[in-house]
Amino acid sequence: MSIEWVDLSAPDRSGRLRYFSVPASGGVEAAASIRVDPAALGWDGLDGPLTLEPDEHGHVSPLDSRREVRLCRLLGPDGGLSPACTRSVLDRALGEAAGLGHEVIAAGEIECYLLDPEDRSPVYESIENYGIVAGAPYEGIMRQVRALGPAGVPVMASNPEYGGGQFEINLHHGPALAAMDAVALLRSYVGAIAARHGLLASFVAKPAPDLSGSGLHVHQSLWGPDGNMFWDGQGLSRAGRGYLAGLLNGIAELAPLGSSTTISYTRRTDGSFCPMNVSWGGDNRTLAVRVLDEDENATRIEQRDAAADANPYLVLAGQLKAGLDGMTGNLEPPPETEGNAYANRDLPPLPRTLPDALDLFRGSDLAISVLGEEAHSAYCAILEPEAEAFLSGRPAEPDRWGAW
Amino acid sequence: MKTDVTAEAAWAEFECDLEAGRAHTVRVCFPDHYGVLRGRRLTAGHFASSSRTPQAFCDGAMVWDIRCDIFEEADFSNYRTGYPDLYARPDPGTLRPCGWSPGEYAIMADACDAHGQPLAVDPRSLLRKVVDDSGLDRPITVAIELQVPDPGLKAALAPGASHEFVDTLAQGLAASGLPLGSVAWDRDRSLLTLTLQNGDPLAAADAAVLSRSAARELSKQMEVDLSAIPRLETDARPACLRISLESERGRGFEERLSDTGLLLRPLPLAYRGDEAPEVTIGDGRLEVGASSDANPYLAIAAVLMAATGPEAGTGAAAWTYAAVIDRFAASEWVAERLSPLFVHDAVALARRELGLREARITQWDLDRYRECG
Repeated sequence: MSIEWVDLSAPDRSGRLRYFSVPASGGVEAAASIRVDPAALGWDGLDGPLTLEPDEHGHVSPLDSRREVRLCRLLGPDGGLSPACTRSVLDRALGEAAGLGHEVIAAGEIECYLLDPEDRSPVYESIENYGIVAGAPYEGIMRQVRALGPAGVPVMASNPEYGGGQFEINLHHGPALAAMDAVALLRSYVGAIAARHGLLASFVAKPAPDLSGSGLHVHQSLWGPDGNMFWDGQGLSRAGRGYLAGLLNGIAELAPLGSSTTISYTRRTDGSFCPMNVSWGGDNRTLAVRVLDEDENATRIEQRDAAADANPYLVLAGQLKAGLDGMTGNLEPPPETEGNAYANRDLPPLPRTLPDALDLFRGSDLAISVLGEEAHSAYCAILEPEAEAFLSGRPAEPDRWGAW
Repeated sequence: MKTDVTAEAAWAEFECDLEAGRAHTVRVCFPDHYGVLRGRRLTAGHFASSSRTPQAFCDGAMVWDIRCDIFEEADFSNYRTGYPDLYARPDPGTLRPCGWSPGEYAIMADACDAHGQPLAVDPRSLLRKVVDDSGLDRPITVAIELQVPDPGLKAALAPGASHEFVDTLAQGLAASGLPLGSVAWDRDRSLLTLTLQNGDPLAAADAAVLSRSAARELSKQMEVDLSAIPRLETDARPACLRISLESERGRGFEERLSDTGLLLRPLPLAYRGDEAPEVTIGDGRLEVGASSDANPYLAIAAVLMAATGPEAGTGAAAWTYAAVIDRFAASEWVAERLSPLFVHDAVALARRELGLREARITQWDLDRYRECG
């Protein structure tokens, strides 16, 4: 079937893909004629209008074979990349890594809920983690999700997670931008596939107070001419230790990049497997950062604090910039945490609320270096009302159930 | 209909199905402490390129309770250990198509640590160990009774009549190469019995968990009320998972069986008064009725241990849940055969279950005591 439409897609501030459809007959050059108000992409306060710069290649939509999906970057009024372009924010961090001779390999591991669209209750109530039987009735959806590979979403596997109706989806690792594109596309496609089955897919950080939160764990490694920079033949290399130290340095002040809503901070509770403090170690699920140093191919660092509804480009850009700063600064990580990090009151805490996180973020040179001054300033201003509403006790958040 | 799929043939069939686009998914599965099938569904292509690569899961899966609640009293894994990964290492000899779910394959996996060593609490590894220790690598037949209180199904059943759920299940199990001998009903058509013929102990246990899981899976898809719960009514005979093999009883068999009783009946609903499990002996065969919610690996291990354990058990048998837990905890020979860590955590799980149950106020309590005082 021939392509009739091209869906030009760009992530908004929160990483949700927005679509602008143009007839295929007109070619993607039509993108130049589309004008987008930054506010429509969640970027109040930035200069507009924005225009779209499509990637060279796209993919056939897994939802409709007459449509091609083409990811885009956002250009500002001056024709240069806009501060609103979060893919470009990641590009910049990747460029810094490339300048050091490193390719960044990453993978997202993300959770979501399947909900009844009417009452927004989970499709089943009991916890059925890894349950083969529990997952079976939703295989109509998950099988389609696992088949998204040709659409740029290299899903390896899926399983029920530690919440009633919650599922984990594992993506194959790959070059960092493609890996985060995969996260953004995945959320978009899962929502559409679930809707076709009469269900609501939600990647919201915590769909209800009594349900487990949904996270976005990011696995990352740097590769150079000599192979995996994080592997020294026996374990985590010196470069890896510096990168790790950088991640830990930045994790608190960059929190709003991975947790940008008041709800996302409700994930942070003792025993929730969402980290509560600045901690690292080996294979330990109570920690913020896990070092998985198995062998050259598999050695990677996993940061575990971001919420599933975060903008994946900003999440990785922040982590990468922090990690590279640590590596180039030859920083040494604090002592490894052993045992139950939730019970360790000596560890520096991570922000527990959006206002606390925003206080750190606002004054963070690291955050400015990740986003650029203009986007940083706008980002703070955009989150302020929700933080203020939280402090005044008013429920100011929009209804996020169907946000993804 | 295929009735016998060897592992080699299953791999060849898988590769053929993958090539032709007929295989889309492979389930990498392992049993948890209760024999509930856990795992992950992989794309067939990813599995094909990484079939020898273990899949990582949170190791809390081996010591959580029947509702997946984790708790600190388990020694194998807890917040102090940080719930690290377990590695589910596919057992190549167990690949088979899921006949009840076209396009899917399943492979059983051994739960190992990061160094590839079997976990001390992994049911498959424990059964292997018991088989090796006992020398009783004999064919085992397992019959699984499942509660089917579905009025529509009951009404439809009659000699010579077919029923979509039963037919689909039977055909699916057979197409998977599972050794389904028969599908039968009890007199009032509330218990469905799947009999799986003669497999070596590990294969028999694999077949039992896969069949029980397939029945539950199909029942959800076809909206048939089905459960492996032992009892739905107070006075009902508990549904069983019957294990039979060629063996003599041997002196002290009943005592040893009660020492291992927690593996035969891991959850409280299987206990009715202090009735012991049914044991049938004759014609050189031994049959033991574990409960329908038992972990087949551990239940078979219990029977083999009872058949070949030390000559004397540890005293008179009592078959209440609390007594069975205490007896299991106190049986040194059982801990020696299995591992002190496994016994500790099995006891911790059972005591937790008992505590949770006793702390509950049920409708029966309310009805009985509402007018007191």
